[in-house]
Amino acid sequence: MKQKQTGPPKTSRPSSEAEEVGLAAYAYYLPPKTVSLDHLARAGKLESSASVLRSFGFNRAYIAEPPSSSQLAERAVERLFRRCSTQPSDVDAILYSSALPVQAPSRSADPASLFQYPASSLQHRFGMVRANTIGISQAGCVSFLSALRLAADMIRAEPLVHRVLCISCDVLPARVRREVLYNVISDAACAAIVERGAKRDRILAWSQVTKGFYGDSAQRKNEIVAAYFPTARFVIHEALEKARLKLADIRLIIPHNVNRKSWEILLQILEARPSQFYGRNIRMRGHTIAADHVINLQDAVRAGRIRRGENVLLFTFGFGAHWACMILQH
Amino acid sequence: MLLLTGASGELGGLLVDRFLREQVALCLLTHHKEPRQVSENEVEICHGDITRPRLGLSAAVHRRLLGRVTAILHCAATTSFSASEAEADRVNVMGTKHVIAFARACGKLQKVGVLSTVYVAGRRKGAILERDLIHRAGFVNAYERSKYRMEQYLRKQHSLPIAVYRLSTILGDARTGRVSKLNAVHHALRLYHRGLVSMIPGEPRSTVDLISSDYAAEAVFHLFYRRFGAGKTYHIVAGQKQSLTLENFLETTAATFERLDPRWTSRAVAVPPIVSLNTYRLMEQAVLESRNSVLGNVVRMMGTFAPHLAYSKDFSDRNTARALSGSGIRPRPLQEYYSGIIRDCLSTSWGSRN
Repeated sequence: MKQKQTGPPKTSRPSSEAEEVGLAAYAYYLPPKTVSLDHLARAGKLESSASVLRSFGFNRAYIAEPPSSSQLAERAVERLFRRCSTQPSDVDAILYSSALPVQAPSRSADPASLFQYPASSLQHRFGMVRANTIGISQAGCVSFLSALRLAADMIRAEPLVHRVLCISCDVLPARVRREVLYNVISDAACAAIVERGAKRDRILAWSQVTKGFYGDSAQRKNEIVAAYFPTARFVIHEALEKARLKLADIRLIIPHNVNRKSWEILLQILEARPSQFYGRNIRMRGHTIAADHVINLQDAVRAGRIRRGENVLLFTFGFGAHWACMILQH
Repeated sequence: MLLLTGASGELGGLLVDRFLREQVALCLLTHHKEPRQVSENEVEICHGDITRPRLGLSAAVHRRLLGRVTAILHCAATTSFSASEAEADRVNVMGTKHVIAFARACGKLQKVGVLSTVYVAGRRKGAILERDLIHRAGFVNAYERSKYRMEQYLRKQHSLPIAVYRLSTILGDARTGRVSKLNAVHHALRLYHRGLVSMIPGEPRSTVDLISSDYAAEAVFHLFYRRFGAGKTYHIVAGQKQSLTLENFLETTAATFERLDPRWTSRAVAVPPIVSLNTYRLMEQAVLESRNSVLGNVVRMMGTFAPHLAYSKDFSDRNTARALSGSGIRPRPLQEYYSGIIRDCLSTSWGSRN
């Protein structure tokens, strides 16, 4: 069925500089250890064969050992502050997103020990004394883009909020397989400053569809695979419409690093040019739940694939199930 | 006496009813033990097998029928799109050859009607005339290839009065909505309803030609019984005016599901996008490589007919229209009876409760 849009279509072209919101800076962190597909297969960490996953474009996974998401998140925030001129004390809010539940590492019988939050730890660790902290969950791989979206909404809605730090980190527990629905999963973290009046990577549009029927990802995986392409096409077209752009106006499609074959199919459905797709990290990095878009965006910028003023389309799918698209102007 | 093969089939059964209303002396050739409930006063039931010489009949029965049969309507076939080439040829080609051999030996034969399919046109595109047959476009499945071979054989039987009735895909009874036999289209609709169809190959504006079983039966009856045309081929189709475009068909199906199944809306199943055949093949390949058994079965099933949607055809039915003129027999627009068909499919859980 066609998705019904409620309310008048929102224009995402800001009418004044005060409403312009963008990514002032971003950084990512990958753990140092990488593991080959063959190694993962031998360790029983794959559901499909290594050869099938290789044909789907994967090559390796980055694995955090020991699996500690707080350390990865800290590294990402450290890199971010080293690269930008923003002072920690200038951050007004922290949105911490993770697809996986954040486990409180405590063996204490005191229930108060359950309430330990990485966002609070990072707020203290980096001296972001003015920042409120909020957690975002239940959005799977859409979590980080959701954080960017909410940061932008917060800035636009609250005059006193100028800078929001979005942090995302996911580390798979050691006991689980490293493959989800034909995608090889890497651990990673990323951080981005969403800022009022940012001169780069302005957020032009956002579109999201959630289909709760597919919320049980294990039971509905076949339906999810079937729904993936038509719903992806819908949210991408809706985001483009909101931004008043056509696909031809997009310089680069920044993917979540799901298997390359699914991207080849989606690009054909969209009638996108292969040169519009930045897919090199699928093989190099695997699919990080938390940080694909920051990794790909940063690497694409460094490689000169995007110039100032050009438009970039970020698409992702997350269990829950969510399809989301964000359009930026670099 | 009319010898009718395939009485157990969807169309064969309706034709038996039709002939009985005209009080035609009928002999039903069947390999089933009890093909249908008819009184022995109405028909003679002969247990045989078209895939065997002499139609698998005993010598005595064979001899008796040769002296009595004046007309043959050959409906028996394997119509499964997933049939192997060997099986499809065995029944549809060899079986027909045995029927024709019987026809040649009949002492009083006046006419032979043979059911075929419009999809003998295979992967051809564009206008398909009733007189057309030979082509090199290839086929989507073994069933249509076997019917093509069958027709090639029939065209060489010059001395026999043979008419060929090529049917489009039958959806069900337009009067009652009843689907007595699910075919590949119903299975595809079932998969769509379940949210397992990710995309459809084709062109948005190409037509999806579907006919009702009652129209098919009335048309075949009239063409064979009242307006027999030896040497002629007839297309029994809905035609472009009574058909929906592929885009409209998918949207109408979604709207119908939404209306008839309260749970459909909450599942938020997306209308499958219409894609090029290349893109569809890419998806098929990816699914088969993944070795996902459920989705693999989906693409294998869809692969027996869905590629047809990428070869847009316009079936001419001039012979049929001329012969049916004045009879009042015409195909109903799909929109008029489609809801009934879907309602029947949903209420029987896609045939599982029949």
